[in-house]
Amino acid sequence: MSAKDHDHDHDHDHHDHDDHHHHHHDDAPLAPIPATPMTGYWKSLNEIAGAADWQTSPTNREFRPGSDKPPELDPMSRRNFFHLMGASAGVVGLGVAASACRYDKEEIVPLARRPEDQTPGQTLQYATVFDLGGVAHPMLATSFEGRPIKLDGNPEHPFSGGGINPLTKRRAGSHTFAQASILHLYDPDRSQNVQAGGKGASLDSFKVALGDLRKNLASGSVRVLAEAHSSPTLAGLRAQLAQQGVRWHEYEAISWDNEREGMKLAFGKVVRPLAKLDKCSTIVSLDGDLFFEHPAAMRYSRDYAKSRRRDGTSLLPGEMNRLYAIESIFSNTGAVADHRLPLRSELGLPFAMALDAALGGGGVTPPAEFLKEDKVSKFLAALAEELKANTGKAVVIAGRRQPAEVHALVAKINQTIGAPGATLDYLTDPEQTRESHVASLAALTKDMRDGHVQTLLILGGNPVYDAPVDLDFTGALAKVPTSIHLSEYADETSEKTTWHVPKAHYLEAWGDAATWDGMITLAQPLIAPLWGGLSSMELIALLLGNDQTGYELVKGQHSDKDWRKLIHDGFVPNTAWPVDNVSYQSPNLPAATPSQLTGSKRPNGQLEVSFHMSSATYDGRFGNNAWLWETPDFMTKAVWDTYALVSPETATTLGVENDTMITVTLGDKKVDVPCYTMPGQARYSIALVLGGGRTRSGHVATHPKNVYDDQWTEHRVVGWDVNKVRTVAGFNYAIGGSIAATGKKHEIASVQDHWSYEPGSSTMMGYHGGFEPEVERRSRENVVTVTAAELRKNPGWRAQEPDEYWDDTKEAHDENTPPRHLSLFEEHVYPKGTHRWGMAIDLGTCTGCNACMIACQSENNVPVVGRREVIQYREMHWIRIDRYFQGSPDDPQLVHQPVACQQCENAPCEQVCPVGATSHSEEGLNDMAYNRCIGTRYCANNCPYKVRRFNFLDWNAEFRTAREKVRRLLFNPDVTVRMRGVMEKCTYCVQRIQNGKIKAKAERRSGQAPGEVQGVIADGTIETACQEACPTEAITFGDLADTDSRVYKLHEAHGAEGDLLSFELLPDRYTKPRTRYIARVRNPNPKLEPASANGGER
Amino acid sequence: MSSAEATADAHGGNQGKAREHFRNITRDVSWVAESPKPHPLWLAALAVGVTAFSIGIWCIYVVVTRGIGVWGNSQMVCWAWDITNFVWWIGIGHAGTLISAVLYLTRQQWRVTINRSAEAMTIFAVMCAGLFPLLHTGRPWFAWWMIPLPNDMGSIWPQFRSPLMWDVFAVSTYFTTSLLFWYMGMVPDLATFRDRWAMRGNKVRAIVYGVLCLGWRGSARQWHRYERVYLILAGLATPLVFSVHSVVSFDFATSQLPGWHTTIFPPYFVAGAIYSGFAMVMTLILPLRYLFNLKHIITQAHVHAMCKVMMACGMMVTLAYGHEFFVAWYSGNEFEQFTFLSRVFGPFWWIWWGFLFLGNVVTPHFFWSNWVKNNNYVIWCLCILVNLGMWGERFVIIAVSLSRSFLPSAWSYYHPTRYDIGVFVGTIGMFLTLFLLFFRFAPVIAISEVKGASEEAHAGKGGH
Repeated sequence: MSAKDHDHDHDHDHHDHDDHHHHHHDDAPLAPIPATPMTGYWKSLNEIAGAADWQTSPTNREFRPGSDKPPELDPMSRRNFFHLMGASAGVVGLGVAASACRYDKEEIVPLARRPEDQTPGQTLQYATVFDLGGVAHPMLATSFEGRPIKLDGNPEHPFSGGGINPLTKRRAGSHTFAQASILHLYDPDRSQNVQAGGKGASLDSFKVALGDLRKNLASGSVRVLAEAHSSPTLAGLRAQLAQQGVRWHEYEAISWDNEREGMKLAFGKVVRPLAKLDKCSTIVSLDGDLFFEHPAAMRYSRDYAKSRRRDGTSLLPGEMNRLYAIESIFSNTGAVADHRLPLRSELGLPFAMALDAALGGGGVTPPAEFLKEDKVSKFLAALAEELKANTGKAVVIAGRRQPAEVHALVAKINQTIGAPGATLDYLTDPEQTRESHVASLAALTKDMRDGHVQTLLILGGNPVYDAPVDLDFTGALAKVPTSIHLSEYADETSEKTTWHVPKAHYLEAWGDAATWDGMITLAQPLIAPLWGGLSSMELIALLLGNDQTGYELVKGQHSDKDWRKLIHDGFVPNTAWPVDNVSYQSPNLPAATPSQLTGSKRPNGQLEVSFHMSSATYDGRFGNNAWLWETPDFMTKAVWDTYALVSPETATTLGVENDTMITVTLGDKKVDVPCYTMPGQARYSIALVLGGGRTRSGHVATHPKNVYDDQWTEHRVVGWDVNKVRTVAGFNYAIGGSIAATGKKHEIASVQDHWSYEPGSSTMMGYHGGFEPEVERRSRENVVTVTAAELRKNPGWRAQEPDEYWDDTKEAHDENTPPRHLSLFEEHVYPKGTHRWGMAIDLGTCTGCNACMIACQSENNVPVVGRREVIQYREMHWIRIDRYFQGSPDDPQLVHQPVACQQCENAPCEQVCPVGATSHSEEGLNDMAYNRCIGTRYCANNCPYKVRRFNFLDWNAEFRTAREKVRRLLFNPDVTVRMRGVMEKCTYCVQRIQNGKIKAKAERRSGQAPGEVQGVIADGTIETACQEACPTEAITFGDLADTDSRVYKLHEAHGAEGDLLSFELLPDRYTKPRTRYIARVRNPNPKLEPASANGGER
Repeated sequence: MSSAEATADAHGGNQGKAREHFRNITRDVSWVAESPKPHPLWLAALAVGVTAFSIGIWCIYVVVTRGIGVWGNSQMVCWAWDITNFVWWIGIGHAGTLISAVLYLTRQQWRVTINRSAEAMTIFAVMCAGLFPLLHTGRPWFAWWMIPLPNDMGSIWPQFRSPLMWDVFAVSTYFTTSLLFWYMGMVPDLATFRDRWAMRGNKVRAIVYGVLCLGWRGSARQWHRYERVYLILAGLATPLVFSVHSVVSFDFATSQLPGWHTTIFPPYFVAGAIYSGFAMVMTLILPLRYLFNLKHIITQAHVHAMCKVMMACGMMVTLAYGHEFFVAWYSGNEFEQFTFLSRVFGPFWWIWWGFLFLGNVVTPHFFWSNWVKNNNYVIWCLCILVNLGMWGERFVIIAVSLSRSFLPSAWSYYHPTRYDIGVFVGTIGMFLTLFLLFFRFAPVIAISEVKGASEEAHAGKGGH
């Protein structure tokens, strides 16, 4: 069902979309058609006739036993296309049973009647779930004629949080990882067959082995090591296993279990804190990242935006939240924060103790030197004062790296400031007994080493790669006679286990999971497993001798409810965990250890080394995702790499610089990583980024595209594996690290600022070019920032003088009004009734999370160019997020600015194209006719915003290889795939605009929508991909000709806020851009930042 | 002959002596093409030229088949060596047209010994230049879309607002006119070649040159028409000297990039073009006049004259540089100011100082010295510096400006690749090859014009 339909009442809206995967159980094929052998080889005529047991024998269904080669699946062949399509479209009874051969049934039957919800060429959307680390991200998957091509957040899901702006009808936003996860679906590198002892095996032989294993379940020597999950179905199966004596372990390399442990300390039971940021006036983030890393990041982003723009429609600071971030690494929460204090993670505990004491919580201020520093003490005092003043309107959230004690202390602080009930809910966690991830893995490893484990079933995850190094999981695994690894990729762990079983992608399998608040969310497959593969629950069911399919398992779990509605909506209502009114029990907190009490300086050898999520691979699991690798990290802007972040001052002190290879030593463990000097990183804290250096994965992670030139031969794997120094004790951070330059260099590819690190590009102005003042000056012009205090004091404050910018409403409404500015060119005229598309980007709520970039990549078939090409500045992203530092390198402010084509009214690009390949549309867009482009690139030279992207090489060449052809299924059919030699750029998703117009026209004709005014399209009907993905609704798109539209109000409502706060980029170019930015409104504490100092930065 | 009339400087002397002198000129110039064995150095130079040309052809093959991603251009620096080379080569061509047309119209007699080779240089340089706009497009096989061909597809038409379209017409007109002018001027001399080969009984060559000289018989009527057409073509070519590089400079001047967007570009580019053109003429002529014993025809006085032109142009270019900096400062435009600062002190500082400053600002002042003007080795080295300097100037204007545009997020650096270098080397090879072949097979000096300009031509009062 289409996106539009989702608004309709569910009662009369239940199409067949929900049950397309179970038709095959009762429906007979329409016409029996003789089956065809799957390959061209045959042994006898009987075989061809289908009389032999060749097809019916269970052992011969999938591949011949022992064959390690999957059949060549040419995705573009008609046969396979119909398989795939039939599997998901629910057309007739040609479904594919999970256990049946996909090749012995082939019915190509024209449809006599069009199925109810199928229109050829139209996309359908299905609710499903992207599961990351056991946390559900509710999604809507867009399917085009049976193939999923796009993912977005599910706006119907209660946890999605509803619209931020009351004018926004439905919106969810989606996580970068979720956006990119669709790329894995068509990844030919995903594991395609079962392996036994490193050799190809059949699924049936595996099932036989499972049957043998079933007999041993009761022996107690069978263990399961699973990645975190929140699936009720799987929990049920797990309980059955437990009854039979199977112990279940759970491990995640990026784990929130410290919070669990902290809650146990504070309340004596496990509860899950969930902040209500939309109710907050003051938000304190203690060493965590609320807007990207946190499991509730999307919800937090939306809630933050809500209380940032309390009045919803109003841009002016009414009541506006204030965000404090205390953190070691510069996270994008720190970038958004009004005040940020760089502080090593180890100082989190003394800081929390001091805050508790300052709030009168009864604790004592630890005698830590750093607390006496002017900056810290001022910060602490102002923060404490504000928290006291905002009782019931503030919340403190500690990050996952902080130890349990800090979480407990934060619970205490939250109690002091009246957060529980008001701004913070403690949700009842039904899982009270689970050991924490690291402890559980440690216990398991010990048992494995001691020989207590005969069989280990590893469900997902990659412990050989990411288990703490001192557990020596690999060594322990060697002692386990039978080990089974279910995973999407044949990875490092699969290599060491005796069995490997391919895992189905989540878009290929039934499933369920819970969002961070516990709400049960259902996953339905959109396509039959491309390479075979089982889901975790199917494997466990098989182990239990239960031959139910995933569908039956999930339906069985939820069958007492209205199944069709559940599948349609994608969630089970009213299943969120109830609020627990826990009371704080004074925990037995350890005194701060001496190492935590020192000052802010540390010698080499006593450095803090902390471990961080990679914005590209999470913990390494997305290692084969080229989209993510090529999406610049929001802070460093680096791509295709992992690194050690060192603050500039520390780097100078220790004699290292950008691109220096350094050896990080922790105890007796060492690892080599390149150094990235990151302004704002806490001093003497080395941040290591996890998720790099995958040695066994797909081609992307291990043989990066274009990395074959001589310079990089010694480093063929993307990133660096810092798990080599990650231990149980130093799982999140460790003290006592030292770094030393190895004397080698490794160039970190970056999409920004690389000019300043260019080898040999030292300038007469100094190594870094002496350009920083100029960069900062321009960044302050480009990212107009104002403080809320300044705005209140000076209500006439304007981001841009009105006569400086082009005001569409004043001049373009009718043909008779001459333009206000004289122009040599004939200006475009827009007769009444035509659309004039425009966009507004709110810099105040943009968290720089990159979701828009991946959404755009997915929507517009934007190619990936690879690391070397990025070093050549040839990245292709149509929307990029510029990042500028302002202020001192040790404690700078950082601003993000998404930049896509500004769709200028006086477009410099249009004037210079010799063949007219880029020209102005009647609706004000800068159209780009790819077919007409001959590639002079003059348009790009003349573009002041540098948003045009040229296909220097044939980036899509790989899609023509037999192996990679399958990836073409991912292409959005509405967008041309550009050949080499042509220019491309953002079009405001012109394909969505056209679809929206067609739909509106059809609705008008059928009387569903008012048709009096020609061309009226309801505001919000058409959303660009970036807008749809944005969790904070920072991007608004619409029709400027519609004076009721949101974008109109944001742009240029006369005398209203749009006039005040909106500004255009590079106004003196007089390009008259159709994208306007909303000034970044900061809300600093006047105690910490006197208004005069920073008010109205221009 | 108009040039002879212009001299109007009657000298005494006997007719026989004059005839001897004329015969010598004919013989000496023709000998370049007629000597049975080419000079070994000529062969060596040709080998170098052909080798370089071959490298270029290979690189062009790679560029066309794999895409211009094999070059160092990037999303931020979309034009680099490609357009730099284009502008540089176009500039080099200018000396030829200036010498043959402008100096002709201004009655500069000294031009006659060098105009033919300078014109040939123009033709070959424009051929080299023309390669780059073609190759630099992403899809060169569609470059013909820039030609306004009538079609039945409605609005499919080139866009004449684009300076690139102006380029198409400016350069193609320039090439056509130059070719005609060059060929027209050669007709009497080609007839001389025909006659000489016919006398020697080499029928093949006689026929080839006979066809090429369009049946020239040297009648008074033919001479009269020849003179008229030559004058008309000179008149047509003269504005082109100024228009072509002005139009090329519009590619930059009409855009809005700091460092490009400036009104001084047309005269600045023309001065630079003539400067580099003369430098290239000298670079070629100085060795060749040794090689082919033409020192008595292309004398040191001619070299002096060219040095003076270079001096003048060099100082004009210097003035333009100064003006650019002044305007950047005076405009108060911060983008403009920053662009110029970063040219001089930014990451490409070494190109500015090493090429622009040394090559174009310092070099012309050496020509104040008569010692320098008499020392052909020094002159040659200085000319090489000027050639490099002018190339650097174009690179700085094009690539360095692009690498520091409005948004700091788009700032970048530029590295050439082997294919950037290869294609450039290839055009140098092509130029050298064509020029050497021209020297061997065509009348390298306008025999008739040299005769007309020489003192002996005026031995009998009233001219010939």
